Amino acid sequence: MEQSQKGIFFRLKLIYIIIALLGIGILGANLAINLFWLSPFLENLKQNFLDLELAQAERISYIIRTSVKQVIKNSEEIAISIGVTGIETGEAEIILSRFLRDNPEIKTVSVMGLDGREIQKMSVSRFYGPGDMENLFSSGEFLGGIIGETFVSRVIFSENAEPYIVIGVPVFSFDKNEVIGVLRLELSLWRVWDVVLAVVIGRTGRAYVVDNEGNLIADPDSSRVLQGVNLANIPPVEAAIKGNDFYDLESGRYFNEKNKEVIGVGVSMEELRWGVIVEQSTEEILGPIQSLEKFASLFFFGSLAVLIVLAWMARLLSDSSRKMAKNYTQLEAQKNELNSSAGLLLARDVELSKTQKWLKDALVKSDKARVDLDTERKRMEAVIGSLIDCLVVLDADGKISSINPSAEKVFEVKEEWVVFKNSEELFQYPYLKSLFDTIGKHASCKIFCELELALPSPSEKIFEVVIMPFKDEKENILGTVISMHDITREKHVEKMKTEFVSLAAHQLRTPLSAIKWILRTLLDRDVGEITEEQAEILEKGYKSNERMILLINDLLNVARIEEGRFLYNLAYESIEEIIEEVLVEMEHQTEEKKIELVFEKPPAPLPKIRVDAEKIKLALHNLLDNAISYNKEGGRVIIAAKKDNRTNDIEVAVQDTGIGIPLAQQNRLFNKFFRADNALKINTEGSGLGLFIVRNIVAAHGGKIRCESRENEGTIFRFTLPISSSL
Amino acid sequence: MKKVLIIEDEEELLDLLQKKIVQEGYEVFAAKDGEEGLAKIKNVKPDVVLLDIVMPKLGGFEVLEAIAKDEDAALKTIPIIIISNSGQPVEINRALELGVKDYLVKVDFTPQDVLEKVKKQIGEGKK
Repeated sequence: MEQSQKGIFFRLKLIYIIIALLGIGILGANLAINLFWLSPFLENLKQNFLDLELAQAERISYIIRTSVKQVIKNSEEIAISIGVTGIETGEAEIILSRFLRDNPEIKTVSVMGLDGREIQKMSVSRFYGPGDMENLFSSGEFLGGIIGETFVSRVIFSENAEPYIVIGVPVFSFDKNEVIGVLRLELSLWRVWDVVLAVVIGRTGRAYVVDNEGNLIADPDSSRVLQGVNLANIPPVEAAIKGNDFYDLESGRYFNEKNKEVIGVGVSMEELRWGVIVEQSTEEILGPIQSLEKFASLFFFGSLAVLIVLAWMARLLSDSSRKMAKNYTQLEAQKNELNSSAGLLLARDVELSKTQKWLKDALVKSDKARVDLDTERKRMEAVIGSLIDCLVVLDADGKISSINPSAEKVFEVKEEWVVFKNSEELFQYPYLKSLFDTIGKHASCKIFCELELALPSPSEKIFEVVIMPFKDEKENILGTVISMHDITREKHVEKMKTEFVSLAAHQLRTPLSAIKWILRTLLDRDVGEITEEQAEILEKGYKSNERMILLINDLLNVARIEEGRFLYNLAYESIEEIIEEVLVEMEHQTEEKKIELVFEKPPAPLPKIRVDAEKIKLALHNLLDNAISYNKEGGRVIIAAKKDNRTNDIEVAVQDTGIGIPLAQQNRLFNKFFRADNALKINTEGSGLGLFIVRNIVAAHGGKIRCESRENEGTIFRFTLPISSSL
Repeated sequence: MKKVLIIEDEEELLDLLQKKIVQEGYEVFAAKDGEEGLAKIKNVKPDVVLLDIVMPKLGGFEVLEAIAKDEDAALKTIPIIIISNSGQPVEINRALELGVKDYLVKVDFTPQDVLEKVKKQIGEGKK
């Protein structure tokens, strides 16, 4: 055991070492990169830039130098030629004009005599007459030339601001022993400008040329040349006019005349002492380098941070390893304990296997019985499986023990997911949860319960649920069968029907109530007197309207009966009180037909019964209405109520002395729209719905109705209402 | 004078009822739909309201619900009698749950009957 503990420590140490090595490695790599790669690389980069500039400058310098030298050389050759021909001769003139033609950068050429006066003078653009000749005795070119030396002037700007130089070349005599004159020429420097302009150095770079005094003689921006800018105080210029090249990594950075920091090189043009400067803005050169440097330092500090984090993590690890070691010791102890328990378990296992063997024997004995049971079970499974209704069987603990395919479909589960699972697991299926929630509210169900279950969205199915506990002989509940019948469609139709009936009732009744109220207002003389005759006519109209109203009310009642829900306000009521209230309503009718209406009260008050009083009144009203309407004038109607002790019911009887119902038609008495032949003869107004409604009201209360009748003698209707109602 | 508010979309019925009730010495306000009715309940603060169910804009049930939800608790104490022609038990029960005092199916009652119900609720008017 300790071996592996050591192993862990060893591995941990290894991790530290790896982390440390990793850190050192990263830092080392960093330094190496910075020291051995990046820094030299950056230096090299700068160097490359300067070299590039220098190359450009030298190229420009070379072009200028060679072209000027070439001109000087040519001039010296011409000077020799005219030395031979003589400076004042026509031949000399021809030589000079050819010279002009072959060297377009030469503006004017002239020959001075020993007194400094020009003897010959010509230019491409202009003709010089004798009056144009000048005395240039004191000029540098003459003084230089007369002593036998070639002279190159500083840069001069012409009237139209063109820089040029004047070159003076001595003209020697044929034998070359003496100077006979001086050849003078003005060399335009526009070619230099061309050269400078052709140089492209980066985005901001430029090349320019200064003369030996620091005056700008060629610049890409020619206007600056025209302004006569002197740049003698700019370091590369300063160096160049002293004859030195300017090339230095450190001091190469300077501010140019535009006060912009640049890096540049200066090249001095030997004998001319002009300078060619090539410069480029520091920003452009060093921008990328600086970002590289920034990146390098970021990288350096970044890896330093990583190293710190690694170190911190290593510390944490060492802490937790200490804790681990502690835990390990504890685990060790536990394991030892377990080891000793294992021994005990082993012993128990032997015992168990003995028991198992015994059980196995017993099972073999009951094998036949099991086969029988299996058959029975399979038959049950087939029955349950083929049921369209859903079936869920719960065990005594309320856990699902089986569920049929219909239920699997409805609850969107598989039997194996739910069988013997606890409620938390079942509640993840929303439909099952809703079933259990509903059943939970009826937990007290001991015998048989019926309830409604509406599954939540998106199923939204509605079920009639029957819960039936099953018990053993000793009345112990073994489990519960829940069967569910889909009544979604019925509910939907019912709702539609309710809505339709509601609207139809409203639409039919609205004009009828308008007629009723109008006639009533007239009959009540609310809007002035009317004659007796007028009143009679209006009264007839009123009655017809009332019949229509009653008919519609009957139809609505029938519609409601067929809806299946007819009883609404159930309460314990006294049947005697209900009867008396109805009798009051009937008074008007009995008086009219001179009918004697008698209520035979029971000797002792009847027990209150649970009914919908309005509906009972309606039933009584219909029965009494029939008893009066189809009675003979001066007839009798008896209503009686009593308790039937045998059946524990209350029985109400309505007896009349009327026309009776033909025997042959009595079996159709309670049908919708039925009207007996003899009744039709007397009264054509009935709807044929009255008794249908009565029977339904009675049935809804759990009672029965029957009729005894003899034609021309009278009829007795008896109906019962149970005292102990399940309603 | 005691104030009676009739909310009824059938003009004939409204007229007749109004005449009948005015004759008995009540001050009568009329509204032809639920929206107008609700506004008048709030403004007039009648002593009793006769309320139809099936009406344009705002039905009777919606008026009842609006009163139940209203911040003004005084509105809830105004007695309301439903005068409707669709009197299915579900509707009657719903109205009673919303606290109405009575539910009259117009076709089964006369203006006189309605007047009696008003008297029962708020007493005689001043003739």
